[in-house]
Amino acid sequence: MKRWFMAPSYKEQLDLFSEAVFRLKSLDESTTAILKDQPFDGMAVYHNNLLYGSIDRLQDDFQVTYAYLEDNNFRFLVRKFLLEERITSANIVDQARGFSVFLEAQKPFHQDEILPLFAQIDLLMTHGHVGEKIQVPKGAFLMWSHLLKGKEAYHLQVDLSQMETVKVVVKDNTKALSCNQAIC
Amino acid sequence: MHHKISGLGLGLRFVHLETILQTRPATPWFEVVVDDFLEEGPHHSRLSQLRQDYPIAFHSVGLNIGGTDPLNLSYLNKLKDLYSQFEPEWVSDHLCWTAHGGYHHHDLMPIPRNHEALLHVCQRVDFIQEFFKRPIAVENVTSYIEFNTSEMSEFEFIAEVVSKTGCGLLFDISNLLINCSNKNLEVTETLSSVPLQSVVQFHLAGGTQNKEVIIDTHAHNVENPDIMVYKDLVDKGFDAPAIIERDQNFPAFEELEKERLDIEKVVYGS
Repeated sequence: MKRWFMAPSYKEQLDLFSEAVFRLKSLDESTTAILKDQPFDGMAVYHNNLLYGSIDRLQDDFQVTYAYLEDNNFRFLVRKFLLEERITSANIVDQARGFSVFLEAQKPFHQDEILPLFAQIDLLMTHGHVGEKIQVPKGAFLMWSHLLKGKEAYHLQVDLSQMETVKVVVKDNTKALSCNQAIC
Repeated sequence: MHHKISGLGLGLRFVHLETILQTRPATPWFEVVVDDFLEEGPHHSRLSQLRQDYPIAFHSVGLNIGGTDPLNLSYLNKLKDLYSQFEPEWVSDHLCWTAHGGYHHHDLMPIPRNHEALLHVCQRVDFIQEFFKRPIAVENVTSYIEFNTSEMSEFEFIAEVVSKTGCGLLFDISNLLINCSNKNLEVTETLSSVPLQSVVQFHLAGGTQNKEVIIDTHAHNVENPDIMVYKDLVDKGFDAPAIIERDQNFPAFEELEKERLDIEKVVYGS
């Protein structure tokens, strides 16, 4: 075990602890040296709070993205997002925005044009304000709304050459999205 | 401090907001997580509607009182604006750190309870209270590790903070019981070190047993031992307002309100 010649400062201890939590893996010697007893079970609570808390929040915010990716792939991407991007804002909504941007940046790896579109529409649905709008390729909203309702969408096509507008509206006192007179 | 708020209320959560506005339950007050209202939107007008009929207190999770990053002035300004807008009876946050090196954990991280940390935390509480022009209340949190450099027990540290800064204590009874269970601490002895005269509010919540550890998940009903501690404190005259926190595994609002009424009956006997 590493021994400190001088007691680490308050900030040094927070440096080590924060880094250990974000690494989401076993502790190094410097970190175990600042903690009492066997800290592994306790650190696992902080790891899990970060990872599973983020998975739960983002799953709520990105319902169709989650359904499209399925559980294992979604969890893999959230974990990758936390390890590579971390969370840089106190505002929880910014984490959702960051995840949407992250999925777009992953396009060279997943080679999927549709995934970032679903993430954008999900984000508009969960955190968009009434009247806010985005442009997406034709057919993306229809496919998204099918998946949201749990319907099959494999027969639907997205035309990347044509764009359409998706807008946040209010229907029956509830926030909804509208596109080409379809409301979901 | 004299407040309009009294009795056992509930933590307001979006999932219940519409039901509350439609049914106007007998809940005496609500604690609002102010971080849910950082962004403008229709939820602000819903909160204004609720505010017409209920007193509220604000609770935040992002002040980062124990952090070493500079205090986030844009966050503080936003909170100050929201305080002016919705006029909560008091404001509270946790005695912990939530962000470090520019990264946010969105979790309540533990403080090494030594004199360096005490000085640091007190300076930040002083700054925040000066900024808001009002005292805040700080909440005891659960922790799952201990630092080698800690020199004080949890409530010795908290007592020093409230004494040096004049802030209040939001005493989370369930967090104390969880820490006692996880760290094999004696409950009565730990309770005797709580600076009860500084308590502004109580929290009650149900945790989750995970192997050998109880985790503060707010996912279940409040356990009987927590209710008994609350009742005992009220019986002894420490009758601060309380709320039930629920953040996962949400029941219908009617069910949560029934749990509240049941606890209220046990504690106040009516």
